[in-house]
Amino acid sequence: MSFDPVVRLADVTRVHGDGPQAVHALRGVSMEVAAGELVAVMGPSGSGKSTLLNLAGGLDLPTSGAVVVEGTPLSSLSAKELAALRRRRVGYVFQDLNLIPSLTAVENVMLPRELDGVRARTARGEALEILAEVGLTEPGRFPDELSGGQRQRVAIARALAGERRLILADEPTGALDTPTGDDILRLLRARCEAGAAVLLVTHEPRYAAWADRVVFLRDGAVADSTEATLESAR
Amino acid sequence: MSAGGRGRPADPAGDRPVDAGEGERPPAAGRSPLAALLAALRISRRDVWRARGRSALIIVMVALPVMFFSGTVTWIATHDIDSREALTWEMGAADAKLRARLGDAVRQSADGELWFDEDGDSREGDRAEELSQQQVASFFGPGSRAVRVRGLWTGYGGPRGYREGEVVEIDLHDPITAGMYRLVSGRLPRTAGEVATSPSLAVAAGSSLTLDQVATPVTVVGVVEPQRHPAQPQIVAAPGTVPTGGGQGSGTEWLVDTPAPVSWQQVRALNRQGLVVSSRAVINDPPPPGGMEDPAPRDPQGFQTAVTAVLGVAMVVLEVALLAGPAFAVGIRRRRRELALLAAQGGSARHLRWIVLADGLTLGLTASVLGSVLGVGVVAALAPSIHRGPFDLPLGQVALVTLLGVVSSLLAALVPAAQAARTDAATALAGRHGPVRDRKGWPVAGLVLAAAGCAVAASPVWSDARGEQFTGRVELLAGAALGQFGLVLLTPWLVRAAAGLAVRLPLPFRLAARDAARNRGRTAPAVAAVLAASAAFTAVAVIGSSRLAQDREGYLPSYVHGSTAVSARPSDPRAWAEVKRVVTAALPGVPLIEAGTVVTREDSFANVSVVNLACERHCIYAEGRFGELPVGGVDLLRHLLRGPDPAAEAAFAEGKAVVFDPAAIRDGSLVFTIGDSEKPRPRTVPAVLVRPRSPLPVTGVLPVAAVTRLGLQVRYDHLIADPAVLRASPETTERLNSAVTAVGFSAGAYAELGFTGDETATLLVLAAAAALLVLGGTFAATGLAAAEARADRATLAAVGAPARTQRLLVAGQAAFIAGLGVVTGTAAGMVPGVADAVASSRRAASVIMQGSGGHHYRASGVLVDVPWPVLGAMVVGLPLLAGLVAALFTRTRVVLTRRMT
Repeated sequence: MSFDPVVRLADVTRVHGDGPQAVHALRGVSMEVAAGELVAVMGPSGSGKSTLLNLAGGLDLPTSGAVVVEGTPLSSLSAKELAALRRRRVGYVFQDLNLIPSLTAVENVMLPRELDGVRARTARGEALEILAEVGLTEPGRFPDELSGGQRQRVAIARALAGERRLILADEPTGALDTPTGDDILRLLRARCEAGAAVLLVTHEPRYAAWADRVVFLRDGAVADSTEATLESAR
Repeated sequence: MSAGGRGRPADPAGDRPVDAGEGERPPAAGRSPLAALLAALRISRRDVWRARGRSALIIVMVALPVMFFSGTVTWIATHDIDSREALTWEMGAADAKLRARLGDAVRQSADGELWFDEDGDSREGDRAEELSQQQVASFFGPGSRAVRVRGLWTGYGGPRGYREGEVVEIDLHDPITAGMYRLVSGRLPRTAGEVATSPSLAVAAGSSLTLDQVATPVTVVGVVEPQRHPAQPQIVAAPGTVPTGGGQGSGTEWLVDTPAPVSWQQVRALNRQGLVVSSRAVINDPPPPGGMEDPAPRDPQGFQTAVTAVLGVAMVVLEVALLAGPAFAVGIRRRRRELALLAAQGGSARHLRWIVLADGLTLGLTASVLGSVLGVGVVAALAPSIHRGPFDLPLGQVALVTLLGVVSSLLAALVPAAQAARTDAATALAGRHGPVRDRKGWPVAGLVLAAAGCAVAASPVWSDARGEQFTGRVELLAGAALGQFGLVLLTPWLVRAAAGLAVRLPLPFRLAARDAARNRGRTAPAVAAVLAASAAFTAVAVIGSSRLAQDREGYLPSYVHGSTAVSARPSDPRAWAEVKRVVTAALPGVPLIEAGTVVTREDSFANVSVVNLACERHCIYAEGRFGELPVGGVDLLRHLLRGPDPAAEAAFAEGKAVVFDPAAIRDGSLVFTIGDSEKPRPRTVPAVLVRPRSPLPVTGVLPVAAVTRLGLQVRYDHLIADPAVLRASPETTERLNSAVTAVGFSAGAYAELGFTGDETATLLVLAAAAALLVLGGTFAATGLAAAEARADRATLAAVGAPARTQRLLVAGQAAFIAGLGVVTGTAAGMVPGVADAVASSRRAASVIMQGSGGHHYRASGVLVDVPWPVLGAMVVGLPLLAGLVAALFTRTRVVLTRRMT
């Protein structure tokens, strides 16, 4: 397991608005996720969990501090380069409605590769391979024909398409029942074992227990950080 | 299992070099520059199907105009029979047709339809009739054969009385004429003295006719249909039926059979001998146009027409784009999350823009192809029953219309695409609405363009072109296009400003206005579409109504008001006798006043003109259908003076002319000239002056005695029923007209009822079209707004708002869009409308129309007529109607909305 971080946040602050209406979503947060590591972020509503995830993938930019993905500081990138970074380095998985409803499972997985200029046939081959790895047997179905768990598998497959190895997962189990949620966490854990880095936002201690490390956020600042014992959770 | 990256072990160093920092591109193999575009097209294709309602709306809006225009161009192409299509009808099986022979060398168009000699004269001095068969054949070289087709105008007597018409002498048994006529019944004329008639003459085979120039009656042996003009009345006679020199020639042509096709070089060589020739080979394979030989005069209006067409097309495309715009705008709002997801997966701004543009392309292409297929299909289905000749598909034009449909749709998607590219992924994913971007449009650029448009449209007011009806058309359209574009840029600002005025309105309307202003992306194009439609209607209504008022002001009566007149130009007294018989039969017991024209023994159509009229530069002497100086009896004088005038009648009885215009009488005499010669001999008649009660369309009236004393003749050409004895109903006039037109091609009946021009019907059709556009644009945007505001309505219901409030909210949205668009559009349309009315009335007033007694038929001032009732009804009625209909069709049942996150 590597100790070099795939993503590193250094003293990151994010302020929305200014003057008296300014909201401090994050205050001086620093953290790292290395390859093969699953880090869970927990905290109450409004503690800045989602903001943290948006900053880690370059969907949002910090007011101060640095975000570095695989050695590249995001502050040096243009919007276009940030988009390219998300196509090639970072994959997002959200709670629900992750997939483009008008595309089939395999087409959803192909999409970032196609946007990157990969021929449809090549992208389809890759996508089918990953879908098989995440255990989806019906790649030709549309999202609304799939169960919640299957949809999340597709989303995870998409987050891994291409050369990507950083998964930013925002409450990926939030819309699922417990056994299905467990399956998804098991899958994420397996991807970590295979070398991916996963930053998981959740408010379920049950799922946080799958993590190598748990970071607690409160009012935009890191309140606590624990090394979780995987064995105790499983 | 492999690593997170595809089969690649985790990189322990983690410090690989990266290109530009955003990660390495996939290897070149398996890449395609189109991959992202194809993916965008796939998404849009699927979404079009998912959002069927909205897609159908866009498709209808784009397909309808495409269908209309592609149908129109196909209709025109099919309706238009070109020389190639008419080849067999015009020249049967001949290789060439000699159309005319002039004295000097001629230049002709490739098909021989147009020609002129070196002096630029056309159709003068045709001597083809003097040629012999051998001479014609010799022009075309050995082995050629010529067949004569001789046309003449003549009078004839038949079962329905005396008529005038065209006789064509042609040997229909000669195979060279095959295809020119179709035998309907009976048989073809074989020997001299046998004729066939065209169906429109309604003469049965077996009857006999008397031709003016033929001593013995001719026998009708059959009915034949002229293929080129099937409805044309014609008598087709066997050669030799009419003696040479008889009748008034209407042109002799020669059909020529040649051993080899006649080339364009041969035609040019024949032109140098003064011959005009249509060649089958040249018509089938014409020389490139625009050569030195091509005499087709360049259309001096060509540039203007092209500019007009381009401007018109641009405005239609813009209007279609504006109508479809709101649907695209709402489409991207509904797909905010989808677009944000794409951004999260690495979709760049360009990718997001592509996805919305791909929608425009997919829908535009579907709609345009559908519209074109329908347009062409409808014409193809209707054509055989309406048109003669083959169905023509103008592929280039239909393709252009289809392309313009796609362009409209892409244009409609342009602004939403730019908005999509600005998607804030983090905000959208959190399910929040980002701050409404306070884009005010481009008010300054819009104002500048609108002002420039006004200036251009109004510029003809200051031009000093005289008399022409349509100068300033290009300026008008260019100004309208510029102004429309400016107003489109200005609309978002207008929407915001108008919503600001709504603060004091009751809650539902205030909410509606606020909602409209907050969602300018969808409100502005709808308002702009309504604005453009109402501006166009206002401009056309003001122009039409003003021109109508100007025409009414400058109306020149042909006869005394209220009288019913039959006029004819008979070349033979027998034809006039027949006209009189028909009119007497149609109007039994009505005393008829007979009036005529002075003619010479040699020329029965000589031109009479009174000298010494006080009309000078920029002045036209008004002349009714009587001409300047009718001839008749005392009944005509009484009719013109509207009652007895003993003094005038006494002078008239003495053979003196009665003159109504003091300028025309000098030293007790009237002087007039007759004929077209360079130095016409003045004729002097003693005359008295009478001032008529109202202006008359004649200078004076001559007694028959005065004409005979001068050694001249009278050709009677008018029968008048005085209004005191007959006020003909439109039905009577129509019946009279059809009775007399059957007698000869030049006869007709007319009731002088003053100015009867009426634009109501046109205005109504235009108003209906404008209303359709206004309501269509409004409802599209309102429906989309209502669908989008479902969450807000759920909130309203949750706080206890009754169904009525919800209805009023939707009604308010519709009324806001329609009201703002119609009010500003009407104001905007006034500018080109009034400008044209001012310019055209100034142009009209620059030429004086003077009648008898110095009466001016046209007002000299500026005449602008704004149809206030119509415009008022539109400004008040359309927004009300839009609101009412929207309220009626609102669903008030609250649909619980699902949270996005």
